[in-house]
Amino acid sequence: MSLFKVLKNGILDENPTFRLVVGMCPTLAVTTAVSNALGMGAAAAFVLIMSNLFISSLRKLIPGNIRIPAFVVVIATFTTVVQLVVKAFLPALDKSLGIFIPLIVVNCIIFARAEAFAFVNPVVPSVVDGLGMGIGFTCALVIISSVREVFGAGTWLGFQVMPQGFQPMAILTQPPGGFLTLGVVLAVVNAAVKGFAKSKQNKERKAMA
Amino acid sequence: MKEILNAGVRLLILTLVAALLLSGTYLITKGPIEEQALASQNASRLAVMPGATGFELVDTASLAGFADNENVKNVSEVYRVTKDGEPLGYTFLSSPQGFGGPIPVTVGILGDGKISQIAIGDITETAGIGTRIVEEADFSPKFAGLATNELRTVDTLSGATISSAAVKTAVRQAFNAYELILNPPAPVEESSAEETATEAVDMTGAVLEPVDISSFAGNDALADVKSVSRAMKDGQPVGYVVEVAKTGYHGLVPVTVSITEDGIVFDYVVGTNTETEGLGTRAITELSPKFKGLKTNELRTVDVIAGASVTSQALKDSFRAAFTAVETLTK
Repeated sequence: MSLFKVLKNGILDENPTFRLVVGMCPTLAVTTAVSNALGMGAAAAFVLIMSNLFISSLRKLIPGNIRIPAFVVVIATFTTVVQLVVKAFLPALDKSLGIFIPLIVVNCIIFARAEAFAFVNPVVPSVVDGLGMGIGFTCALVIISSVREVFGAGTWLGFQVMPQGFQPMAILTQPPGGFLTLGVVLAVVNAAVKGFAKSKQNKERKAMA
Repeated sequence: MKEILNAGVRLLILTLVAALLLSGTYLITKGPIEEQALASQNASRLAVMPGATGFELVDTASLAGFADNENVKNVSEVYRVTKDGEPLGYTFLSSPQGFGGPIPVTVGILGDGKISQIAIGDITETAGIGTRIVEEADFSPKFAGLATNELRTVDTLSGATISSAAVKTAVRQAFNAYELILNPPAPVEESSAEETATEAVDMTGAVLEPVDISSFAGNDALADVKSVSRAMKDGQPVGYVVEVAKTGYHGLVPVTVSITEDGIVFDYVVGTNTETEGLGTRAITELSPKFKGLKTNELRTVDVIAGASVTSQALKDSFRAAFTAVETLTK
């Protein structure tokens, strides 16, 4: 698999949120505003790349039967280091990201990529996989949070985008709104993927004929 | 065996390295994190007291009137604020309960007793509803410049009543604390004479004379009062005995209360009831010593028993009705 394919795989074909449907807890929790989604996406991508890097480079030293506890130790250590450093030296970032950083430990995307990719692949593809998955996760969060923020608060990234007369649908920024939006967006994405696959099939059939 | 040992040792080394890495990071970041915390705390105090140069923590625990005072129970941090050595006022951190958790409000009160500004800290209110207390940019500034008697002019936000009322409570408590610091209450000795004077009169052995309670008809607060008797002792009235039967969890809980002339609960008896054994009955046994000697305005100090709230509330309501009955008759 070429590096570009690995990158595209994370963003489109195996998008963690829309195609693999992992990491639902942070997805539902932080998508109330686009700024939160960007913050969570960036923090998760960072930890994802670093944990893929470490696990991939340590993969020959870790016996298969203790890989799960080893992943937990690597991911948790790395997240805690990031958390402490951000808290100490980047107070502005800590204020907007503070609660999301500890959440990364339980983000199963990172765990899933460690298990499925980094543990069985060399370092460079693993890092690229982390980058692709991170971008894919961020994109998915931004799409969901855009829907929730625009219709739930009338703003996008804090700027007023809806006309003054627009009455925000407050439920979309509430937890139930997270489920509603996620369901609708997933349905649209699934329909699009199906449509795309069908047209590709038709094209191939025509080419054969 | 060898394989397990090998895996164990590797895991041990991995966790050891991780632990060393973490403790190293912790040592490096500990100081800066504490500085940041202090800076952000000072920032909220500075925000409500622009131009201040000095903050000095006031030890409220040793101040008269602060301990066990309901009126200032949410006030946790009080700072004396100075500007270039001149006293400027006080800041109060007051965190009453909102809808989704405590609402920390920093209130700055200037030397003339008026609010400088208020700042609402990190809240966990419902997004889009309770968070309007910070999202609506003109809510907090409404408090600026208010004196203690002008606080009621600030309206709560409809739809976010609990959260915005909590902010008002926070400010009210800050005013109370300010008042306490400027005018500390008189020492307790002076009032002790008064208290002994109102000690419950011994009502044992009194003769009961039924009282006509037909005037109670139509009064919802007195609907559950079954009878009232005048207690006479040696020809002198000593108080009232009221029979009330409120609905508990499983039917009626009859309570007979004796109240002295001075309006103090002398004694009471809970009659036969069908409350759940071990739950509702707990309320009756555990609350029993608490009602004796209470006055009408002290009834709210009795907390309901968790797990038996319905029964406890029925008991409290019975006492409330008994007090109301006596007040109606003596009026």
